[in-house]
Amino acid sequence: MSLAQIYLKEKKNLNIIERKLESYLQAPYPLLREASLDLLHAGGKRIRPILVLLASQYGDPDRKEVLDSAVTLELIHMASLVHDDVVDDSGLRRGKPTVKAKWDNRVAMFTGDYIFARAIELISRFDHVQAHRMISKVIRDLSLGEIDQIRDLYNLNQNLRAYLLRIKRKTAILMALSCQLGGYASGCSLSLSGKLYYFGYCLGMSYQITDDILDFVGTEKQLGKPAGSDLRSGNITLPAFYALQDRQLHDAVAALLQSDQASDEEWQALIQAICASDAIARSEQLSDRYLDKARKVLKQLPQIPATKALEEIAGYVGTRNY
Amino acid sequence: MPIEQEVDRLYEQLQDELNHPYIRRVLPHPAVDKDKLLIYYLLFRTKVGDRDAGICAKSVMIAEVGLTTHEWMTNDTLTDNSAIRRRQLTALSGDFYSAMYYYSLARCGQIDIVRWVAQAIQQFNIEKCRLYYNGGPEPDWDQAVQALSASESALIVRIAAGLEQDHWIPVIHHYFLVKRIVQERLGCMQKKALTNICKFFETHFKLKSEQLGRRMDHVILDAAAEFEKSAGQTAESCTMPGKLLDYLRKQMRMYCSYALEEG
Repeated sequence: MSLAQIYLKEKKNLNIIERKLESYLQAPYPLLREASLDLLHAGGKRIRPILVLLASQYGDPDRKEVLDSAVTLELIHMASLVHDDVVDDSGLRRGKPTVKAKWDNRVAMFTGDYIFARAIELISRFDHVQAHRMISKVIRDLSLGEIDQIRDLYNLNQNLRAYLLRIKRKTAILMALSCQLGGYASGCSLSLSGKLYYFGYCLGMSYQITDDILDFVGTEKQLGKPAGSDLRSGNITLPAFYALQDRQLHDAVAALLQSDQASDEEWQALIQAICASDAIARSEQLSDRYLDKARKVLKQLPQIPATKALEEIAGYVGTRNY
Repeated sequence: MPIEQEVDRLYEQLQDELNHPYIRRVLPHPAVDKDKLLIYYLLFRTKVGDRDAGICAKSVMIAEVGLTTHEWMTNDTLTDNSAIRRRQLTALSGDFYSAMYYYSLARCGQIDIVRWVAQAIQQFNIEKCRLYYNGGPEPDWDQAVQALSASESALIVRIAAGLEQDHWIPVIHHYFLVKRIVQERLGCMQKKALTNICKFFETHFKLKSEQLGRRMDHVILDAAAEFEKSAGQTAESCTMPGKLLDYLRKQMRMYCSYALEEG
């Protein structure tokens, strides 16, 4: 089963989710409505809703809470993107102007807060205190991860553990929650939902590491921003972390980060040097280790078509180039 | 324990809960409105026990802090690294506080309150857009004041409604409008604008600072009169300690005299 087939198979539910997202973002004030819908119409992979849908197939996927969970998690993700664009001062997302670029930072704050509140209102219908504990912890950790990332900017002495904790909070736990909540909302046992959580966590870790690799090896056209943008803004991701273990590369990175006048050519040369080192291969190895763990979890799950689909998604994460 | 001491204790606990070591290094510690904390606590006590009322009051105050934090967001182009970092953390710390209210309410199983807060936050953001981005042909002062007023008490009014304490709504609504305008007025006069509101009013309505001051004084007097009228009605149907009304009246007199004397 290919990734396209998975999306095709889930098309009916994905369309329902899309319509629900659209109706949930019909804010009663025109500006908020336009800003929210712009973001929705910019599209996206909808990987979190897909994970919820697939995980729900281990229980009863027709339960109303399943689709509500998928919509909620996508809304939370969207809200975080609007604020991320303010934090990163990004003008484009998925090739379209960001809310902060089209309007301004303040509108982006109001829009993100509005969308986030819509998500919480929707999930508050969910009558399981345990689920709320899981969701609220993830949302709290998500924001802590973003704060950690700002704290660790330009810190060349950070350790691998700090990086892994950061990406766990920033990316992996929301994917983990998507799988766990899909299971939980469809009535799976806590134990099965826990396994789904661990699968989503490993998948998310690999997903973010791959993202961090692509930031170095991708082209400006693929990335929509110059290669090495993370490092240029002081964000030490995994390839940079490995590169810093090489004395020469360490000094070169330190010199450019400290310089106010580093040229684009100097940055490009440094990014190429990092790509030519073993930093990318080592990062890929770690990404693969997480994918192996994810696949091992899948072996412990009931062998239903959804298991194959989740395996396919793991394969996509490991090989994606955009 | 007297109510003042209980609120002081909650205030201290809240300071700890809002404390994030890195945020504290970069941004000023968020201000907590003690009046709101007191009212929340008394409102919640009408439905739940003292302990849970304290947790709920603190949680909703954290949501208030999240919204206030995002109000500090500016649109200027920044080049200085530390200013950029402050802006980034203004966005992220607000998100952190918004996550915290859900986290702490979920921990004590108060999901209805989570829903009320989420609904109120939506209203707050609608009112903020109405205030700053009213697309009408002419700037409308009354509409702007109305939007400011609605956003100031969006959360506390929704909680009062959820707890079936509707008779407090007009009092609370006028009280917090006066409080905010007085704080802004004093902030402007002391050349340390508390938020972007004064700056926005001056630019948007093309007012000199004296003209803006006079308009604000009008708002204060009108809202104070409305407050007094609704306080009389609330006193008749009040089930909460009458002391709260006395306290709010005393505070209101102080705000009015302070602002108008300074003005």
